[in-house]
Amino acid sequence: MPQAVYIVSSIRSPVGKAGGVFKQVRPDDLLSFVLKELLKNNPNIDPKVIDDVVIGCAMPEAEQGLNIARIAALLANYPQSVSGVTVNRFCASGLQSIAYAADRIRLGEAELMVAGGVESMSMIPMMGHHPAFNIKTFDEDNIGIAYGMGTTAEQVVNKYNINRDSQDQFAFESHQKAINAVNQGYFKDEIKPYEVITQSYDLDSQERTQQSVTVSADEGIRFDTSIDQLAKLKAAFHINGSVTAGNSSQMSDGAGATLLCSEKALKLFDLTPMARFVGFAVSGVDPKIMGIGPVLSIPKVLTQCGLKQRDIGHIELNEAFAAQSLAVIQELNLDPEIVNPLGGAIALGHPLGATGSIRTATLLHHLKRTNTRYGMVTMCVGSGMGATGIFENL
Amino acid sequence: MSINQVGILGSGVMGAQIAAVFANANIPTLLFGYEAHVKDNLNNIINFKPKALTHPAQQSWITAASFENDLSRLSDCDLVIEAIIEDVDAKQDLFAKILPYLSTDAILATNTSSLSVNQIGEDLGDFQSQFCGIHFFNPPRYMSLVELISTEKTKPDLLDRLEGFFTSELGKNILYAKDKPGFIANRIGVFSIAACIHHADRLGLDFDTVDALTGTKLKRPKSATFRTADLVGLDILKHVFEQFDQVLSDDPWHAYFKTPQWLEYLFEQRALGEKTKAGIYKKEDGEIRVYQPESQNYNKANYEIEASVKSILKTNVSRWIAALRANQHPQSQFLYSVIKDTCLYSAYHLQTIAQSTRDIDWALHWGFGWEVGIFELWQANGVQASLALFLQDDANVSTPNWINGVTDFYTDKGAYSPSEDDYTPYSKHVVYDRQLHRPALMGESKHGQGVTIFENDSVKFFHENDGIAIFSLKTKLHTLNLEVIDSLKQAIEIAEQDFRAMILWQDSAPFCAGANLYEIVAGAKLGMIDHQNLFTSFKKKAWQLLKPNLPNIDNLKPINEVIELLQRVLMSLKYSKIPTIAAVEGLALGGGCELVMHCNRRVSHTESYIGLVEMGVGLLPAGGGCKEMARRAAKHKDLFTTLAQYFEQIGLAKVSESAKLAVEMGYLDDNDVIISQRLELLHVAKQQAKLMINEHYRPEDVNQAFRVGGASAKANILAQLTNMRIGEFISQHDELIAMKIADVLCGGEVDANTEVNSQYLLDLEKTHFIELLKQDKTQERIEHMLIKHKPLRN
Repeated sequence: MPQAVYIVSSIRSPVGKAGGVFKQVRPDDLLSFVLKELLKNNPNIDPKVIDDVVIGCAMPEAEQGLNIARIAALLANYPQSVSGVTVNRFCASGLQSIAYAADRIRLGEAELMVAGGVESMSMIPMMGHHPAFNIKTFDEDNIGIAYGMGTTAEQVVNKYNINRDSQDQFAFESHQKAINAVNQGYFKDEIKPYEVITQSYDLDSQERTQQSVTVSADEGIRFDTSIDQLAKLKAAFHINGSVTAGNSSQMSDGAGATLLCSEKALKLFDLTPMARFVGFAVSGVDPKIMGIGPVLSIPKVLTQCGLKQRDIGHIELNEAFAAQSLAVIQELNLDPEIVNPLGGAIALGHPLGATGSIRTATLLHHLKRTNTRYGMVTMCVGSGMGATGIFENL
Repeated sequence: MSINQVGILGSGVMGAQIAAVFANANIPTLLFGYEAHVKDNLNNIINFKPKALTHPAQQSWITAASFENDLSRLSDCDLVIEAIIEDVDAKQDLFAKILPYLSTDAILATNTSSLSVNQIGEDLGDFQSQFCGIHFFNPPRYMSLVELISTEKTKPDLLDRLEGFFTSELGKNILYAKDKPGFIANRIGVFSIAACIHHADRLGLDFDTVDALTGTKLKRPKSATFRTADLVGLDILKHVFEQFDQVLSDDPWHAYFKTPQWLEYLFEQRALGEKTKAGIYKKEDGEIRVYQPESQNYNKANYEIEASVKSILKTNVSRWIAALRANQHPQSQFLYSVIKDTCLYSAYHLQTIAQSTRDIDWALHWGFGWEVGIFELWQANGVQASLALFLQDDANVSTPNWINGVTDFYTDKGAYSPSEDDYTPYSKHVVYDRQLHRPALMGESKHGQGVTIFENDSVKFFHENDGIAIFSLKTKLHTLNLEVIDSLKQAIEIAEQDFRAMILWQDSAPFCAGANLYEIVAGAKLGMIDHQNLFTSFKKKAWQLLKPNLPNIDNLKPINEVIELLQRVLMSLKYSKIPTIAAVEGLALGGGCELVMHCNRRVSHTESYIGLVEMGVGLLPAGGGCKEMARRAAKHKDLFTTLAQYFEQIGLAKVSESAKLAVEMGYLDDNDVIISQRLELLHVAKQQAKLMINEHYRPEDVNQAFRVGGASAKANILAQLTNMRIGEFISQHDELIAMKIADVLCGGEVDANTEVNSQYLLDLEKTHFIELLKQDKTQERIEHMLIKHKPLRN
């Protein structure tokens, strides 16, 4: 019988636009910041008991290379005895890390785990600095691996008959829901403000300068967007296509972290759990239509956990593209009312490997706020996968 | 004293563009404007169209300065050019403000096209001796003509200094103009437009008919008369007309400068030409429409040039005047009248506005793009014979007294100057010693002929008694044909034997527009791609009937042999015992780009437009172009990224928009030389040759191995292509060509970083070229380019 897994804390940094407020912030700094904040939130625990730090990252190289989990844990002054591992399932990395951490506890091999995710798309481009495809990719069977994400979105558009208007409408609503969430102060509980310190050299005064700006909100939300503006954007991935920069997720920088523990640890440190980790599943799909991944992983995890779709009261469905989000909603007949009530990646940004952790924080706080029992974080994954995790509000 | 820093007063469109001219020549420049917007004006230079900067980074040579706070910085400027609004009072007020800050030996100039320079400078006191007018033509980066105007008080050596500086460092062509309205170029050029308007109206010709008559057929720019007016701006044209109307009241042709009603109307409608997207012409629903003054509508262009007029214009210019006069068709009468008026007008005013006939003719060449100046044309038709015809038509016309005694405007002694009543030679300014083949007008003796080594229909190979051989193309647009390739082979062999260096140089742009496509498509159509003489006599006859202009196809070789020959010749150009230098200006496309890349050093004019454009006709570079780019990429640490960049350039047939940008694209090397004055190319190329000889130049090892990106680099490119093809941004044929380009650039599907040699890549180039040429779609692309002069997307 597996042990129960509890979540004590789930927090995140604000999400910056790639090339925006976190342009010069190293991802290992951003990650060690959220790791520190996580401990600050839980002064009762003895950090030495943490077994491992599991961090998701989709392009783990350069500033976020060299096993960023271990490096950031040390930079965050975690005890040297606490180890670290970086995991990669592209856009599901930040959810996968939580699932792996939970598994260690479920097996009884760990009592306290930290999981999270990080990505700086300002510093590490999509595909990394040195892409090197395998020539065998271009055999007919495998060509889907070479499909760019936007190309897969257009394939989904065709296969599931998603029109341009509904995509733009979906994108518009993502922003409106996010604006509402900001106005209601919903993100205040999960976001830890980050102080960006810029050190540069001023050519005019010939002096080194230091500037400090505290970032406490997500940068990507467009308060002034409109359906008309969205409708004007050109299709980016097909000459007659409908997927645009406006109805796709944004490239972003961000980090998130979650503290997981066993029943034993709850008692040992006198912790109040905010949620229980219920289950997690992944599925593979045709890489050409990777956006459809959750259509397989959602039923799979529900079956695994003995739950019905109707039991779920809040779904955080990563908006890689409005097109694939709409296709998933349509195929599984999801209730649009419970999908992304605080907006999604189109408005809030999508720092690849961090998104799973960031949206888990959003979900858990909102389940509490609305007193909803079950919630779900799900996303499609490049090269054709879906990943879904279920959490129970306590 | 040299000019080390320049100040431009006025950061409007003209001021900013003039600042860019200096910045392009790496000269520190202060751009003065009002505090509120000067920085924005500076940052906007990068957005000008056509581009004002030869490279975005050139902007760093310009510093914004404000009239309010920074006038003291003028003291560092050796040359200060005022370019604010055309208003005497405003200019004088500004001068009064800045005068205290000028360095005592600075030169102060006004850039005006219409005001009196003497009047603008009248309050400058002692500084008048250091003051003059400088008239740039718009757009100043691209227009080579600059008129210098001295005042009565200007120091004699001042213009001399400017002439040297502007000519060599900025690459301009200088004319000294007298301080008269419109100076030289605009006075005559605008009169010619006025004459066109006058006679078109009189003879009932439409705008588009006039343009068809006065464009390339008349050896003038394609934009002809009214299209040029649209480009310049109808507001500006109207302004010049009004100004001439006002100040030239004594001019015998004064009536011509009355602003026509349609111009007033278009001005009121804000239809000002190109900049307002409507003027005399307007593009609607994808077709060009032309303004009709009677109906005030735009109709589809619908002109027809009379066959007899067309055939006159096809004859030698020396027959034009009499033949056009004799033909009674209104189109012929129109051309005759315009030419006649312009001749008489230029002669009448010559003494007042210029030194000699040469000034007016060069002004028309450089300022208005005429291939034949008005006095050149007149002389070719016989000065007195033509005059007699003109006087028969109009006995009362005003002519200058000197005209009766002149039989030639140009002789071996120089150009006719009425004030001296003699022929004046060219300026002896030391700067022209650098122009080894200084251009001459028709009737003048040519500068620098050289000693011919051999010459045929396609090339001239010569030297100038200095041990350096010069190879020049004579073909149209300096394209490569079989004869050129054969001749180049022979030239290299001779040069290696008898000379110490060899320069590829053309006496005019372009450097080389590429391979002769006629030969390639003819060979392909006749089945001569990789076989000898497979074509039947029937096929040959059919082809000749279809394409009568084709070069003699009996001399054609199978294309695979031509490619092999081209590759061998270019390799021997690169690896010959003596240094080879390309002197590049204008276009160097396809095979022209490959010629450039296979020389050991390059001297380029700033305006060099270089690229491998074979993709546009469904082919890939096969004269070592891909091989060279692969070799160049191998020197970069980040091989994959560099290959991706080079692939994109070749795959999209990109052409550099300047020599500086060609360095970034890898077509020119970092240590190649870039100069501003195209007429100095041969001089500087020779200096480079001498430098290389003195350095004991040795060729690199022809077998030297270099690494290639291999399968992984190719796979990266294929990933990009896959998405472009699925997104239908490219056709299947585009993808096929692109995949072949990628294959050569990456060295085929070998392991990454495998070492290969040049020959391996050359063989890949040839194989893929031949495969592509066998494709119908590639042949369609070539034919389309030949017939329609633009690429076909299929």
